[in-house]
Amino acid sequence: MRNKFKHLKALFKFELDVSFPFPRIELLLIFLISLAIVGVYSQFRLVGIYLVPELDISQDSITEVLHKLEDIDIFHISAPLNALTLVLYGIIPLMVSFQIAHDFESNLFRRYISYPIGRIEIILIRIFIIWALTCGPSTLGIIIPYFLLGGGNNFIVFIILLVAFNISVIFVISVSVLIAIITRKSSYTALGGLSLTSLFLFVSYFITYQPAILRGILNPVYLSTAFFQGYAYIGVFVYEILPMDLLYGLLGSLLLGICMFLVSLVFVWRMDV
Amino acid sequence: MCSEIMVSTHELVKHFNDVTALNGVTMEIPEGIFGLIGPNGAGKTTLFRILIGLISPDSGEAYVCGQSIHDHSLEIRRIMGVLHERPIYPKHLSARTYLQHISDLYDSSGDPEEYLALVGLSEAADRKVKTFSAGMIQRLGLAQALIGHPRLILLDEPTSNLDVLGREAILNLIVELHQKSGTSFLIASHVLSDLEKVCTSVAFLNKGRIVKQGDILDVVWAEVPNEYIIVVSNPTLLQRDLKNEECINNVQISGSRSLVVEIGSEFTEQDLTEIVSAISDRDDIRVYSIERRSSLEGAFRRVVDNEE
Amino acid sequence: MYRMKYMRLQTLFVLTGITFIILSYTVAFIDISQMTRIHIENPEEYEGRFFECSNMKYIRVREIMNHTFTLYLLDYENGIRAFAEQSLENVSVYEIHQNITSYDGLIRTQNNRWLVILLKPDNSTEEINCIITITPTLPDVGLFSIGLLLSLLGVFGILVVLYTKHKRNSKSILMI
Repeated sequence: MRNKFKHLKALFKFELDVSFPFPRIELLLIFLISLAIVGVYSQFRLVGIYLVPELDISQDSITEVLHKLEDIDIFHISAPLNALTLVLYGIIPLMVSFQIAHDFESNLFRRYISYPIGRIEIILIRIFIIWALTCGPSTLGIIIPYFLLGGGNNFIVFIILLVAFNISVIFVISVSVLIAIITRKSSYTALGGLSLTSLFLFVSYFITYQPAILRGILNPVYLSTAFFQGYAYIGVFVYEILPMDLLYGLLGSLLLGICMFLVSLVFVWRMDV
Repeated sequence: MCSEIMVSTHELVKHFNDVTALNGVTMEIPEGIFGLIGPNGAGKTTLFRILIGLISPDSGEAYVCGQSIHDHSLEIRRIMGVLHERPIYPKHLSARTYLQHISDLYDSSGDPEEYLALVGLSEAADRKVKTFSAGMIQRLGLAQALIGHPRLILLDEPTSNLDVLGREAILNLIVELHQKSGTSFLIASHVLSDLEKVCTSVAFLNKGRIVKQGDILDVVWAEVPNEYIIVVSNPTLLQRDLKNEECINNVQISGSRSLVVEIGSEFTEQDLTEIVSAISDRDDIRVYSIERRSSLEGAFRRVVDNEE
Repeated sequence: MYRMKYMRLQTLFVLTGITFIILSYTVAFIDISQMTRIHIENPEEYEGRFFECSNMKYIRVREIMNHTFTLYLLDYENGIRAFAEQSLENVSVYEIHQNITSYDGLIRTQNNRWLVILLKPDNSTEEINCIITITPTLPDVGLFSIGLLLSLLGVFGILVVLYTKHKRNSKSILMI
């Protein structure tokens, strides 16, 4: 077990040095953290700008809205989370294209698995790194300002949104990795991944007359924020989303992502390199 | 602990769409420096990839140090080093850094400094790989194949892309390493002159089949016992006169200044020398050398021709 | 390579810290100033506004005719209660400033993000016309602190790595 850990550590260090030389990680980190932080701050400010001029203490409905906003603070992070999702749906296929498909194309993968490295190990490490580099700074960039700005009272909602965010990322990584492993070409991976993720986003944001579960599978973050925002506005729902729809949407996205991921691993295990 | 036989294969078959790359390859590779000889497309690289575990055979078995490639691919790679044809290494890393990573992957105590010194790259240890010449890349390739203390090293066209001096240096290094550390080498190449210098045993691979295998000297002596290369100022003239000689079985021009001559088995080199001397004096031809062609190339050509 | 690995980690800390420090100034620019005007004609009346106040804010209240007024600063809950009950009796107040013509101060709300500013004329015969300006502090204190901490950690780490390298080199020279 200790040897296995040592081996994985060596493989992790190898991957970092080979695939992510300075300053790739650093630039990505800075970009995503900045995007997240600016997004959260902007959203807090927008709320302030939006509500203050309208605020008249004699209007009961406004105070009720404020009460609701105190309880459910998703309003402040829905826009940044959705913005980050949009960005990551674009970045992830490109990362998978550069880090995985490119190695198949250039025969580097063949070189690497000539060493005592398992094929599955190397793919898993890469996927883990891509997930950590996309989710990690984004999550930090959301959490830090959110709590610095007073946070919210509903921690559970916040956690559910972050879980939905992670599920989105896993889903998109799985789609991109499957394309990369089947096509083994970086251009197809980039194009195919970007096209598919654009389709997911288009369908989830613009096609309103469809089951909520489908929207949840394609874009868990959007469904989650829409669900909680629906309850934040008294009597005003964007569309009806039931709690079970949200649950099935999240689970469906996660399961689909895991299935695609497992299929990718089977391909990797059996393919000729 | 490995047995004397490093690699054994039994009826290995591999197809790629309509192409049969390996067609029932059965062979045993003993310890030492083994040459796998064949023209381009013979199946050498395919065989290597099967042994490394990059591809699976359609049928057949193969064992490396007694371990099956089907069940113990990872363990095999732990005791094996590989130098691929036209190797690529991360350009932004230094040689030292890359070797340290490889040493960690093998979980070996190999010190990059030591292996860089062994392959003559000490002074370039901290240079980035992108600044390396082709010869230096090959040396780095040898170092990374060695650093895991392997029992067997697979070299796929190790001297391609190299000039004469570079090739000689690599070949000398292989011999030296085998003598010092006892590591066995399996070299795939179509440059027979290189293999002739270093190999202890060889196998001929043609169109996916082993057509001959054995100790290099036995193979060569069996196939080409009486061939000689004559370097001469006017090979055309000499060829015309030699054709009339009784002891000469075959004579062919092999270059602008050379002939390959096959004499009958009952004749000796002395006989040939006398005949050539007489002709050269008569026709005023200058003879530079007469050498026995202990040639792997000749042996291979003959074996392949017989097969066809 | 050991040194390189840690050097990169420390560099990452420094770069992230610098990013946070830069952002602490940038987000302050996103956080635009808010300004509003309160005109109270009836000297017995209170009037106020809710302001979004997630982080530290610089507050300025000026009465344009130099008439005196009383300033109350309340948090969200107490502000809502004050308006609902139309009374300050059951209400706790952050700060009260009486008999002032202007106010400048820094404030940050404790547990929620809304600040209520309530004004009332002091003199029973006068009306007041006040301009309230709320501007963010520059830089954002929270982000700046995190950035500074990360940068210092990173710089300290780099110094440790360099010191270790120097010590190792000195030892090698001594051994020769």
